[in-house]
Amino acid sequence: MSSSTKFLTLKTCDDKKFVLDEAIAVRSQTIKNMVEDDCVSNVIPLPNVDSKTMTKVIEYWKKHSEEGISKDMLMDFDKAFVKVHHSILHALILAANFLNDKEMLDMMCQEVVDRIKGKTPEEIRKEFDIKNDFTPEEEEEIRKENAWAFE
Amino acid sequence: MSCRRKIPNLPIDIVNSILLDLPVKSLLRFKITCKSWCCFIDDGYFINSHLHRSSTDINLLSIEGSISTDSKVVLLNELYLPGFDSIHYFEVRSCGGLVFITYLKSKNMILWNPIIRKYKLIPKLQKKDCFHVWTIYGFAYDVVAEDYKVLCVHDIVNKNTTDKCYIVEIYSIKNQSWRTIPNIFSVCADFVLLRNYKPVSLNGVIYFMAFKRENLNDCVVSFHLVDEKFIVMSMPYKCRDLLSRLNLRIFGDRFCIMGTFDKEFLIWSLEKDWKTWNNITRFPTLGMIGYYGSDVICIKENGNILCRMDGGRFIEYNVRKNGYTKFEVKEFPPSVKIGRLYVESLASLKISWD
Repeated sequence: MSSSTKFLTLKTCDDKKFVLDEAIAVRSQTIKNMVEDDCVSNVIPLPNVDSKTMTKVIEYWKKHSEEGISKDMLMDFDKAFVKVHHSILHALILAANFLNDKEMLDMMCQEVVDRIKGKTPEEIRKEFDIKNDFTPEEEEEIRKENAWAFE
Repeated sequence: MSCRRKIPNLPIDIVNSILLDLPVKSLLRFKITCKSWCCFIDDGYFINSHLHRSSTDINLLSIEGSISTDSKVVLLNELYLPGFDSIHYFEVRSCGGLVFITYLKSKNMILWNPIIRKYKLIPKLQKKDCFHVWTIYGFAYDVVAEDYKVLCVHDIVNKNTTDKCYIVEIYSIKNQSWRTIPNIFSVCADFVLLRNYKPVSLNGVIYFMAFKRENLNDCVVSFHLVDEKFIVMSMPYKCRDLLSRLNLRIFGDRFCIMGTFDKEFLIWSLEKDWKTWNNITRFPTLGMIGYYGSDVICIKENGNILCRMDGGRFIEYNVRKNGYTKFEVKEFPPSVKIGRLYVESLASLKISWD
């Protein structure tokens, strides 16, 4: 097959296949580079993305490629799109990063910023699966130093 | 690297960019998440990148009233000034996330980071064997030395010879010491600084309003921290002899002169050649902008001019449509009088706060 192929087949890490219009798939800079370098064989493997996440990504790409869609409609779509559990949000960020779709990546990261900025360190540890490696004394000292930030 | 950021789920560069977008208050709280985050947030490179990112936030200032809520660029609230009392006159300079305050009567100088609520008293200068007439203070960030510096230009009279001259002294926050700039006299003989105009600073350069001794023409004098030299520049043609109605300001990354002439409000910016003035905007004042009591806060990216009238009342002037939008930011603290924008920053690197 050559680079004039209209449809691309993407294969996720759990062996599910997605057939997608090339014009839509090239929203991913990673896929675009592969197409331009003519190194696309029958199937493009996406070893870092699972099918559940890829379904969401394709939903986003299709909506953003719709003809005649208004800015307001896209904004409403985006708002609803990012309302997912944080584990899915992280998976989408990893996918957007691997696929190199900057627009999508920025939007998802902004959502993380909005979600975490009002949170407590305890909530952050849970969300990012971080182990607290401070002694209680060390933690108390930093807390005291920045007491107002905890008000 | 001893300071490794251990973040499961997301790669380091993504967590990095998420942290860069967080407000200072959240970052200070998140320091106790774990040692690696704490170390990362305290890192000088992170602090500089965060300040840089926050500075571009000025475009978030919008008529939707996001001025004090979401933006990382905020107006200074003078009530919180360290050492503030309502009686004595003081001057405020803001630069690179820090604020420099001088109380003119006591001559106390204070360096302050409002958002992390820390301040430092700067040691007073030694008395000189001369008649001290007045001092102009400047505050700037030296990009090359990565150091905040206070500049004092003293106008003095020699007791013996009665000669007038300038003495220029610089305080380095990093080295915590004062130093006198040598051999400055011959240059300083060319101009007279006007102390009624607040100097402004940008990228390690401090700008003063002045006039030339030889022909009494108004001019702008810049002091460059990198080579510690003064440069004298002529004013935009239209500004000559109209000093009383002019102001020096920094808008974004431009040094500007603004003023009112014949019911028109004009702003010029200085080009990179240090000579040419570019008239970036002009519009009718309609008695609202440019007069006493109102203050131009910023020029937004779309070219609109944002002015503060009083309290929480603002005007946004749309240059292209030649129209005004008035709006009020509710719950705006009435004590915010200075009209100075200040960028939230973690800047505290290598400073031993009092």
